Amino acid sequence: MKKALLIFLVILLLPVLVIGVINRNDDYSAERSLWKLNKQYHEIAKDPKAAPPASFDGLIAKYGKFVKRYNASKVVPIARIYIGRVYAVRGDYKAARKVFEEVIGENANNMIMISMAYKHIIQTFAAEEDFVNVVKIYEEIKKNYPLTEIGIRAPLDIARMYAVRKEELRKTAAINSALTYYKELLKKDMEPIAKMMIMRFESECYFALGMWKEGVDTLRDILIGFPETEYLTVARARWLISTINAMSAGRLKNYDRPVEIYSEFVQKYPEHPYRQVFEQVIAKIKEAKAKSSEAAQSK
Amino acid sequence: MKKEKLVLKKIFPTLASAISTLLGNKEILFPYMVICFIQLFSLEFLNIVHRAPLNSFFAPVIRKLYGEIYLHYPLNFTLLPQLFQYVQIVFYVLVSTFLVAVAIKAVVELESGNEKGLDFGSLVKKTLSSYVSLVLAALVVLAVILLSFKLFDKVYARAVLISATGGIKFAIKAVIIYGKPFFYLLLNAIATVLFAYVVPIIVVDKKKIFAAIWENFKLLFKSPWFTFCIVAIPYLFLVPGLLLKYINFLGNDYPEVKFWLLVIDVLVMVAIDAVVYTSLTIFYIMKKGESK
Repeated sequence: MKKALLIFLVILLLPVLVIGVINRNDDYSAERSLWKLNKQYHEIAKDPKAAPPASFDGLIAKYGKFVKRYNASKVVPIARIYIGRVYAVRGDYKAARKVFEEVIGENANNMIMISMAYKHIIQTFAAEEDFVNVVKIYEEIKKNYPLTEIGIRAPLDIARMYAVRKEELRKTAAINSALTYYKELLKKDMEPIAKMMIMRFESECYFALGMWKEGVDTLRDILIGFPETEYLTVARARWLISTINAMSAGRLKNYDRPVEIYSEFVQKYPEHPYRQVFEQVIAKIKEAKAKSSEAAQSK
Repeated sequence: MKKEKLVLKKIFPTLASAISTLLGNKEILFPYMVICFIQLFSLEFLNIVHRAPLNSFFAPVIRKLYGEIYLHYPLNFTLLPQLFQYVQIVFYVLVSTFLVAVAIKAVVELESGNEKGLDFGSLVKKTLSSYVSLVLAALVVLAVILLSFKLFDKVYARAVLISATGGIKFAIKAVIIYGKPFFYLLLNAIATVLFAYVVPIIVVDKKKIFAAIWENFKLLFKSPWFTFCIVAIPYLFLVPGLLLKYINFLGNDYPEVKFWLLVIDVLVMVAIDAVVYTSLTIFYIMKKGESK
C-alpha cells in the first residue's frame, strides 16, 4: 500500500514538475507573472497619492525585470504599456508618453498594442488638459492608420472629446468634418469590414447632427450591402435592427420605414439564414403599430 | 416505527464502525485511493492542457469549443471546474462505481473471514462479472440526478421572475436563488439515498440491475431515515468547500484557489463515498444476517 501511494504521488507530481521546467518562460508563465504585477499596479492606482514614492519605482523595476525575463513573450508589450501607466499614475506624463511611443514603434504590425498605446497617450494629454495635442494625436492616427478601427473612429473621437468638454460649436464642427471625411474615405477601395465600420460611424454622425432619415438610410445600406453572415454577424444584426427601430419610431415617428427596410432585405435575400428573424420583427412592428393606432383612436 | 427509532440510534456507531473498518483494513481503502488518484490525475491533466506539449492537441479544441480567452491565465481556472465535471461524469459511470464495488467486495470478504482473497487483483476479478450492472446502476443514479437538477432549474427560473422585494415571496426567491448550489448538493444526496443499496446488493448478492434496484427500494422503505442520515451526515463535510467556492474565496487575488478547492473536493468526496458505502454495506450484511 505504501509503495502504491508512493507511485501515485510520483505520477501526480512528475508531470507538474516536468511541465513546469519545460515551460518556465512560456507565455502562460508570463501571463501569470504579469497578472500579479498588474494587481500591484491596480492597488497603487486606486489611490496614487497615498502610495509611497518608492512603490512606483519598485513596481517599474519589477516590470523591467519581467520584460527582461520574458523578452520573447507576446505579453511583453502589455507589460511595457503598464510601465507607462505607472509613470502616468505617478504624474510623470512625459516619461509615460515616451514608453507608449516606444511600444508603438516596436509593434508596427500589432494594431491592438498600437491602439492601447495611443489611447494612453491621449489620456496623458487629457490629464494635462492639453487638448490641442489630443487633437494632434487623433489626426496622427487618422493619417497613419486610416483603415484600421482606431483610424476610422478618430474623427468621431475628436467630436466626443468636445462633447465631454461641453464645447458644442467645436463638437458640431468636428462631426461635420468627420462626416465629410467618411464620405471621402468611402470612395476608396477597401475591405468590406472597414467599409461597414465607416458607414456605421457615418450613421452616428448623421444621428449626432439630428439627420435621422439619412442615418436610418445609411443603416439600411449596411444591412442590404453586407448580407453575408461573415459581416452581418448576429451581434451586428441585432444592433442594426434595434437602432433602425429606435431611430425610426423614436425620432422619425415612422413605423413603416423599418418594415420597408426589412421587407427589402427578405425579398432580396430569400434564402438568408436570418430571414425568419426579420419576418418576426416585421410582424412585431405591425402589431405595435396597430396597437398604438387603436390607442390613439380610443382617445 | 419503533424499529426505525432503534435503528436511528445506530447511525453514529455505524459510521464510526465504517471509519475504523476503513482505517484498519487498507485493502478496503485501496480502491478509494485509486479513485482519488485517477480523479486528481485527470484534474491535474486538465490544469496543464493549455501548456506545451499538450497544447498542440488540446488548445485548438478548447479554442473551438470555448474561445481563446480560456487558454490564458487566469480565465483557464474559470473553465477548469466545468471540464472537470464532464470528466467526472464519465469517470463515475465507467470506473468509480466499479472501484466502489471492489471496495465493497473487500468488506464482504473480510466479513466472511476470507483474508486471502483481499488483494486488489483478485477483488477486481471477482467484481468484474458485475461490471455491466454497475455501469447501468451508475447511469440510473446519474439520470435521476440530472433530472432533479433540471426540475430545480425550472423552479429557479420561476423564482427569478418573482418581483417582490419583501415578505414571504421575496424570502422564497432569495432562498432558491442564493441556495442553488446547496439545493444541488441536497438533490445529489437524495439521489444517492434513493439508490443507496444498489451497488452493495449487486456485489453481495450478485444480482442484476433491476432485481438490485427492487431490493434496494424494499430495504430503503424499511429504514429510510437511517439511510438518509448515513448518506447526509458525511455529505455535510462538502458544505464548507461549497461555501468557499460560492464566495469565490481568495479567487480575485489567487485564481489558482479554484484548482485547490477542486482538489479538496475530490479528497472529501472520496472520503465520503468510502465511509457511506462501507456503512451501507455493513448495515446490509447485518440486515441479511438478521433475516436468515
